[in-house]
Amino acid sequence: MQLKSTQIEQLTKVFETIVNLVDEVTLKVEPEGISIRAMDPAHVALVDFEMKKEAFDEYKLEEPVELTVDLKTVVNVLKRVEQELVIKLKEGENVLVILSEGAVKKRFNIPLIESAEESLKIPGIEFETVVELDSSLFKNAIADTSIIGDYATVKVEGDALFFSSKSDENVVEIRIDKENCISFKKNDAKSHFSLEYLKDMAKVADIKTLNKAKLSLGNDLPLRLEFEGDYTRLLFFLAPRVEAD
Amino acid sequence: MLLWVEKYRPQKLSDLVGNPRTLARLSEWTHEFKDGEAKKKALLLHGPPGSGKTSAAIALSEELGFELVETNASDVRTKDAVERKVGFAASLASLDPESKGKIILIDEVDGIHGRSDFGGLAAVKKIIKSSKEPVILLANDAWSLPADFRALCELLEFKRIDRRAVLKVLKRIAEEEGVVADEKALSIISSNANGDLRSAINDLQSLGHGGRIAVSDLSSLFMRDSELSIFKALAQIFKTDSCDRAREAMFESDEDPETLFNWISENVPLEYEDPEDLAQAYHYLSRADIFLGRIRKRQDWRLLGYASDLMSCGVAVSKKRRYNKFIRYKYPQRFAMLARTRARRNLVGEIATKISHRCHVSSKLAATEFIPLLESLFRDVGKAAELSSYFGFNQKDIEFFQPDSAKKIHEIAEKISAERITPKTLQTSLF
Repeated sequence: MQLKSTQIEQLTKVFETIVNLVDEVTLKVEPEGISIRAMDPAHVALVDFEMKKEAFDEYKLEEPVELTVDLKTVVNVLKRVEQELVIKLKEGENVLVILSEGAVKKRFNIPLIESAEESLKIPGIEFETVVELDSSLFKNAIADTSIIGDYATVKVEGDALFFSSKSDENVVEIRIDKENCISFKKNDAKSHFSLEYLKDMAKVADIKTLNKAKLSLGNDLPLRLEFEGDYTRLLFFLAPRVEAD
Repeated sequence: MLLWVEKYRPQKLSDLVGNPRTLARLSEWTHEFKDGEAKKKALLLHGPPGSGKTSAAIALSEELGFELVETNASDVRTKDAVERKVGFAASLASLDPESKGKIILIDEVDGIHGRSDFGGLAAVKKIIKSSKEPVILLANDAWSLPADFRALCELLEFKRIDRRAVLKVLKRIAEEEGVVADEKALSIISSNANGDLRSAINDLQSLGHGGRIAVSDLSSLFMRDSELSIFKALAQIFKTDSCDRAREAMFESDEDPETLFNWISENVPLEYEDPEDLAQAYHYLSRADIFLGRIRKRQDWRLLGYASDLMSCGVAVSKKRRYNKFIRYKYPQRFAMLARTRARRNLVGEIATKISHRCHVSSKLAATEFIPLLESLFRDVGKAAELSSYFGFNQKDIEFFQPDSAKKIHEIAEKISAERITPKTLQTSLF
């Protein structure tokens, strides 16, 4: 196996987002591309990441492999890679080799971990409400709401998408009209989510290639949040907070 | 490799061995909780390791089709970590809208208390109070938790699993794994586990990978961790040529220098074959022993550096070449002897103390000078009885001198003591 890429920043940032949710991940390297699917320890958030082989400059693979790694280490290593990234496997040993090619050549060996994860299923939910918008709009909305509370109410009412939060007497409401969205499949929907998770997920907006966010909503249903770019897709599911009122 | 403990984890509560009443209450409580009738909002399963606490919680979630959200001791459990990992699981709904429910499992809560997990227990408390889902806590020792914490939970005790029940499980697993095992060997593993089913299964797996277990394979089972660490230290000292490596072995070992000294001097002759090497090694060991003796006598711990360097580097550099062979290092004879003679030494100490009170000498002098003398005097039963009465020896003390007629001597001595005029008897006879 040998993968080469000069688009290091995107991969690093994606992994940085995922590491907020899980410590260990299993990276699947298959003929079509690489993927990660993982659930956070509290079982309330799920991430599904795909990067097609076209996103790499070189994609050589003899047989599909599953690499379970400590993601924090991989992220730290990726941050130190300059110019060109090469990912290899050490023959006969459970070691992932990450090389940085350029004026200075660097080599990192990262041991693989025994995988214990059973396969995860993506929740099969039919969403009636789907809003697509610029990911920076989404990120700002989350940043604004998190000033006030710990939970955000995300709802679609009429021709607008609302983010709101309150704590004590403090209230914040963000309204994004249909005209400012890329697509808008409406049906009134309302759910509450933890901002702690949303904040981590919104960081994806910093990745230039993933500039569109697609939110799928229901009434007290999980949030499906999808960021899609050329050959790359990052999908989150987040469990709602069901309020007694 | 899949651990057998995981592979054979029971899927139903009824598959668990031991603690039937506890298990029944566990499933009853979960239903009460779901119906909003539970008096306590959390269950605290407590009991020794390997008694089935974790398995019970897992089997319960499997049986009810609930999602199990668990944290264990290997995770960081500061206030923030607990809130993040467990708190959200307790307050947020499931990712799967058709989920029947969740069980929140927190392992080793008694380990959270007091460790570096500052505020962790308070966070757990908060979660219990606000959780919409049943919370199950596991602890080895429920009584080490604060009382107000315990008051939030219903306590369910898990007892050690009976040896015969452990044996039955081992037999079943051995059969399914195709391990040919001696009945006697399995029975030893079962009793050795002391009610800890998990460790019994782990032992079975580590011994059974060859497909066959006989009684003679069991010796490795009884090796304690500390012995393992000593073996490593010894091998490092004996095999290395470098002073630094030898000293390192010494410092990394948990044992005190005196213990290590005994291990080294016991095992050098097994390792070093050339008599010159051995002589050199013992030369350094004898020097080390002198320093150890001075440390003991004068409590002059500054000398420890010399003692430990001599016994580690000294021994390491004594060899002309490295011996490439495997040696099963032996337990020091000195310790074995001390253990064997402990009862006798204690008895001598007691006797010497009694003599020292009467004869106004130190107990050391009593042991070295008086006891041999008494040994001769005790050959005469009459004298022996008088002396026993005088020193206040009990039958066990007398047995030390005269094992055969101890009972008789003791009886006579009792009579003499009763007749002897003491201030009290004098009083009663006068008035």
